[in-house]
Amino acid sequence: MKLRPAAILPLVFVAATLVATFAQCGDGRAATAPGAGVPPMPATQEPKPTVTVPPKDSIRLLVSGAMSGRLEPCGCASGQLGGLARRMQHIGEMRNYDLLLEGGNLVETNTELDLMKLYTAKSVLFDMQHRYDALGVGAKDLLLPPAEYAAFLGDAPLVATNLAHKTEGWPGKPFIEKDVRGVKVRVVSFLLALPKELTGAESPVSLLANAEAWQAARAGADAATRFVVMAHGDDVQIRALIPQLQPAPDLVVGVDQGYIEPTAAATPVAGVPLVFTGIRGRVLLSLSLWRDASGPRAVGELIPLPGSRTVPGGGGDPNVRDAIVRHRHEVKDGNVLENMARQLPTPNGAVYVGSEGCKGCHPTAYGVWAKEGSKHFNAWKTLEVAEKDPTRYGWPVTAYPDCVSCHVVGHREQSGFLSFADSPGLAGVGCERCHGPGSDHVAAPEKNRLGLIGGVDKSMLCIQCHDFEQSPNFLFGDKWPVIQHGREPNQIKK
Amino acid sequence: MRPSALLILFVAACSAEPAQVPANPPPAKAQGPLTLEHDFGVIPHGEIRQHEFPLDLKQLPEDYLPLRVHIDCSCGHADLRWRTATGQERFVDGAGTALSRGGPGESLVLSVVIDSSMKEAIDLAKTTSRGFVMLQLATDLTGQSRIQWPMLLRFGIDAPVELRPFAALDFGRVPQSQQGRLMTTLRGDAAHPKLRFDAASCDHPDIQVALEPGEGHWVLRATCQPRDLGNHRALVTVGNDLPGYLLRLQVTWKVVPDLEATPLPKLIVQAPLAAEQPLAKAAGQFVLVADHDLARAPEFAVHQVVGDAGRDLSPHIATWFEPVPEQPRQHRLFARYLGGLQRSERGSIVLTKNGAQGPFLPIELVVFDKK
Repeated sequence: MKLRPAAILPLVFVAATLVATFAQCGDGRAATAPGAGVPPMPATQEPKPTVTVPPKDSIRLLVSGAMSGRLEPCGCASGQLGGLARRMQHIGEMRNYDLLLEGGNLVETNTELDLMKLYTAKSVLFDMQHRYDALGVGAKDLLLPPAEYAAFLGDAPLVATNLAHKTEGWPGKPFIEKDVRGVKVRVVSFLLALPKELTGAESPVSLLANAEAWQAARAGADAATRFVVMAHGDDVQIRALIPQLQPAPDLVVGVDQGYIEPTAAATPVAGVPLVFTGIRGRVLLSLSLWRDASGPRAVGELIPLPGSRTVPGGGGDPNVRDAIVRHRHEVKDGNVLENMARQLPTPNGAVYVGSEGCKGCHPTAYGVWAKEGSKHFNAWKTLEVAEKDPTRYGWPVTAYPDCVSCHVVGHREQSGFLSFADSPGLAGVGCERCHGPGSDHVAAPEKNRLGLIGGVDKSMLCIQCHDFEQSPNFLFGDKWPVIQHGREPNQIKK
Repeated sequence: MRPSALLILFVAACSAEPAQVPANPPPAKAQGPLTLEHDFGVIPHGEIRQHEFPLDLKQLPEDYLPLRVHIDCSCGHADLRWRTATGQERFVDGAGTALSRGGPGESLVLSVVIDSSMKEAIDLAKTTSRGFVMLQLATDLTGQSRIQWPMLLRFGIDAPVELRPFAALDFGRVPQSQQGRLMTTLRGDAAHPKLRFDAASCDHPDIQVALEPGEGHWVLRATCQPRDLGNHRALVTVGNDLPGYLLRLQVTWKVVPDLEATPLPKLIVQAPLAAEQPLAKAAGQFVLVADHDLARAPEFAVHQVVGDAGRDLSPHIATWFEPVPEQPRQHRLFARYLGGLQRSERGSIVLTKNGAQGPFLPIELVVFDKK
């Protein structure tokens, strides 16, 4: 169906960061009311959400969370959202906010690369012009080496309300308080489950009872103090937490790794507005918070963070872009790719042999893989070409582990890809990327048959790299015929 | 159907996998009550398309509640609504509680909007985008039995113009004493070869734009006259003779001071405090400093190295400058620990352009005891 362009033009183009979804946090049922007796809404009619205009003295927050190591989108596909440079550009443009909040889970894993990302993110969030007011602690943050984490974030406003950490100098505080035009706002952060690696008796971290931690965070606050709770867990855990917090907070910001797409609409839970940050820092949530006779209220605006297809690097704050480019070069200069290589066991315990080792017995399959234009065959070359294109990257893509991991065989695994100079036969997405290391199979093909790594469904293997951001147009059914090779004719059992 | 059946459906909907012979055309996809698939066609740039899928949860073998919806494409928006016969609607709130269930006379609608105006005025070839509706078993309060109801959307975007090299104008860093200048060209695309542009304007007073005819195209020149420090965004609008279409280009810039340290005015020295730091270890301890004011020489001098308590740190910290190749206004300022401190220190390195007269460029200094 088609909406008249003339009618929508004034509404639709408020720079690139539109999609302003207002919704009120009341009884949860108010959305539209076209009027009684009106026939079913024709599909061409856009619903009219009830717009709640926040009072002028409301507290304005910019919220994000679960960056998961995405300092910026990888750039594999156009249309990827997020990145610190775009985020800070938007924050810099918005001069009327009161609080900048980052939920936490800044990194995804606990490698040397993650520490370097943490350091860069910390520099951007806390050392540049627009300094964040509070940073929560997520489960993934806790997997980083605690001494380094504490050292990097020692002077950051790190808030971890229900965490007890044995590490000396652990910088987490039970709350962060800021005065906003005479109103005190306290920010607290709850972690609702420890990562399994930290649940043992030897763990340096333990969780305090939520109710007790909440009371401790409220200590000394007056009735006018606003409380913003950042909660790390899944949405079920977060909804269960809210009734435990009495007196109730003014806002709960959920940091749920499974909640890809947030909405600006605050959902009331036990009378408390609940919003989610989304993941990978793809969007910025702009919220206004106030109280009225019915309790705490929040309305929001979702700010997606798209990049430009024609501006080199996609755009964003130039200083942040410089910081990220510097990070990329430091990763190269520090040989991080090679440092991270060959640390993990292979999936089947065998050794990688490279696709050339498969060719002799599997010439048909090899031919399908190596045919002209094969993206898997040319995956390493794709990185090299991208690296040389200043309009796309302008930094050493072939030395950055996040990029390399999807363009080689056996990244981080013993006998896997180390560098192009060391292991050219493992550059590109070769046979063993899907079938696993082949040394045992080569030695005794009948005895040691290879299927797919982990015996998973083919499509599940593909989406390890072809995920919703890196390959938004990836459809297994379309792509499978391209790489499908089948068995060699002489290997098919009659 | 088991809960996992929809996941299988997801794979099936996304695949038609049994194509053993790739040369054959793919089999026609069966349309059924569980199929969420829509082709929006090629959308003229600037227009919005909406489609609604009625979702009949009764088609599912078990009692599911709708939670939320996700679509992959960055210019799309989707939501779930319960709608009555009279058109009253309420959004699904994702709680998975009784409120998530439809009331008497309510039917569930999945609304998808593709807003091409969120994209730059560049053609987008017909593409397939994925998404899913998240459902939760009504009897499950743990969130462990959720399933994804897959969705496929197809669309393309046709912009009537060709913009080269930029469809958005990013001035990047604009020093206060300078102007930013950018140029891009406009012409109608193959379907609109006679498209004429008339006037260009910008909604921000610091951006001046001018449109002039060129050879087979129009030239759009934009000038940024920096004023307030910080990040800015504006919109350039270009009129044309295509009915109902107004070309818009985003403009972004950041006004920076003439004396600038990048990427941030902070230098961290990490070294064991018990000994002098080897020169090689200081190779990465630098910050880029620049004087963008062309009326001055680009060089800086160090005015002082001072701790937060006012203590002179210059006996402990050596500083020096190195030029940056092909960047005559920039230098690298290095710092190296010389020994003699008992504990980590914070302070600043203050650069000057003219002795005690300034102007000054302070750079935060952190000396960190790396044991």
